Amino acid sequence: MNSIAGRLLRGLLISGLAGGVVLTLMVIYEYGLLSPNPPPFWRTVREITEHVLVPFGVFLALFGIGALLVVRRVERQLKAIAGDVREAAQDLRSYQMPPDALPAELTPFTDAVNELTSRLAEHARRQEAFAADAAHELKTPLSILALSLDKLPAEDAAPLRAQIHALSDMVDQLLLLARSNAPDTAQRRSLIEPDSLARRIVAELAPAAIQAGRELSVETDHPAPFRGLEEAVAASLRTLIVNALRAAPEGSEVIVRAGPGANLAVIDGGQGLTSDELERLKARGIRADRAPGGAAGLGLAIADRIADSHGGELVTCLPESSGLALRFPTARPA
Amino acid sequence: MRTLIIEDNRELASLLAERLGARGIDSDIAGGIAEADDHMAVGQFDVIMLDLGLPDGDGIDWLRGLPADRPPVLILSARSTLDDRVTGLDTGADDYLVKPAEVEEIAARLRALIRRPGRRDPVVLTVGDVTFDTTSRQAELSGRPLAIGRKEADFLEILLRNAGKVVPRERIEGALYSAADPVTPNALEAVASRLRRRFAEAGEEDILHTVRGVGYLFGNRRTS
Repeated sequence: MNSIAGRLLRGLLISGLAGGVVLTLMVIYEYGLLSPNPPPFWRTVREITEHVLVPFGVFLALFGIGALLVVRRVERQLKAIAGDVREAAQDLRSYQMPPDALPAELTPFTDAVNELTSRLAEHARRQEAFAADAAHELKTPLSILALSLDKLPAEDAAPLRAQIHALSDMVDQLLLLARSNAPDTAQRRSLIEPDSLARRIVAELAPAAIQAGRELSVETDHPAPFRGLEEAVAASLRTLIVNALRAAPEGSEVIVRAGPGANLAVIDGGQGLTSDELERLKARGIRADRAPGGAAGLGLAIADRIADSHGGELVTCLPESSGLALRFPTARPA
Repeated sequence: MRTLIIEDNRELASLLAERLGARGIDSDIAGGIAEADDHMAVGQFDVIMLDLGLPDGDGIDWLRGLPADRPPVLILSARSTLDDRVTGLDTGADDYLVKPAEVEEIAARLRALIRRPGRRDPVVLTVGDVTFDTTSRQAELSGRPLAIGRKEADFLEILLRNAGKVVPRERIEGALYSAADPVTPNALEAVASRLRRRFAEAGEEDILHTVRGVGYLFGNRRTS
């Protein structure tokens, strides 16, 4: 077994046996047990017991108990830290081990791990700052484009305007993705109620859906809150609904189901994506040019990554129904 | 109406000024905070349009430092998250628009900001072919009166005031029934279907939409 306690006990046994043999030999020599006229047998046994077995027994027992106590204590400390790390992971915070929490011998290891996590956190922070700058830079030319369209006749401008909005949404989603990966967003994370989020986004998208001849509705099934960056999750849900509305035939209904638990499913009347197809879309990631539906592919990849940065995932609702669902870990009760 | 546009991108600023000018809104342009201060010192503006990321400082900080009798401020920013919008509005901005925005919407919001004080709701609400007189409680479709009951009239009024938007059912229930009134789950849907029937009898089949699980939406493809 590969535990420290096991190794200590094994080491103690081996050193006990070796010491015992040496001491036995010394006792044999001292008392001339192998000489032509050895002392009586019982005396020999008594000598060996008194001078070898008893001292070793006492030593091994006390040392063994002491060693086990030390190991237990370190184990408890490690478990406490593991609990803290798990808690931080659930809240998507970065974690630094306190310097005195573990014995000095472990310091090189904890220092190295601390350095790794702080570098990862710094990297994510820079990504977020970069994405924020990029979003800002991209929005200005998009604004100029949108304003220039004002000079065109309305019917020519409309399709271009839709493209500008799609581009702008994508820029926002990328920014939100970078933001959900940044570790210092912990304080920006709030408790999200799946049903009220679903109602908010459906209310926002329903007018356009009805204009386009589709129905949009919300169903609830024992929803439970989860922790996250609400705007980012909202953007993922919006992407799923917009994709579903685009795929749904005219006159059909797209249902947003909040629950069970911290799940948000968008169900349409289409054929749905199998989990293999969905995995392929996700794996293609940012390469929207090769994903079917172009922008839709990128949107799904971003939605998946936003879910992932919340400890959740984007899954297919097949075979029960056709649609996609965002699945999040339920928040721990406070 | 005179607007001060504070925006560091010259091209964007002058295009904005040009397109607003085409709608009868005159503007001056400031490329940063120092320039904005100069303009404010010598000019009188009805409304200010403010970008947040400026080369010589943050628009939010500048907004904080303005005197209390300043003109209304519309923030036009690339920062689009809820946090950004809440911060902007909490700082005292009167409205917040995210780039890229349509000229039509910018102009409409600017006009709304200027007429905000003392604004009164119109007595007759009109959406497409539907009108509703809020004092006589009389509804008309294309000039022909609709015979609707009191609850249906209240329902229609809320929907008309929010035409084109989904009105949550809790809000409608709150307006139609007093807290003491027990509201059965189907009561609202019954009112909605009576109202829908009146419209259908008058020849308008597709105007009151149920967004199941959320609320109701008024408007058809022609009106919205």
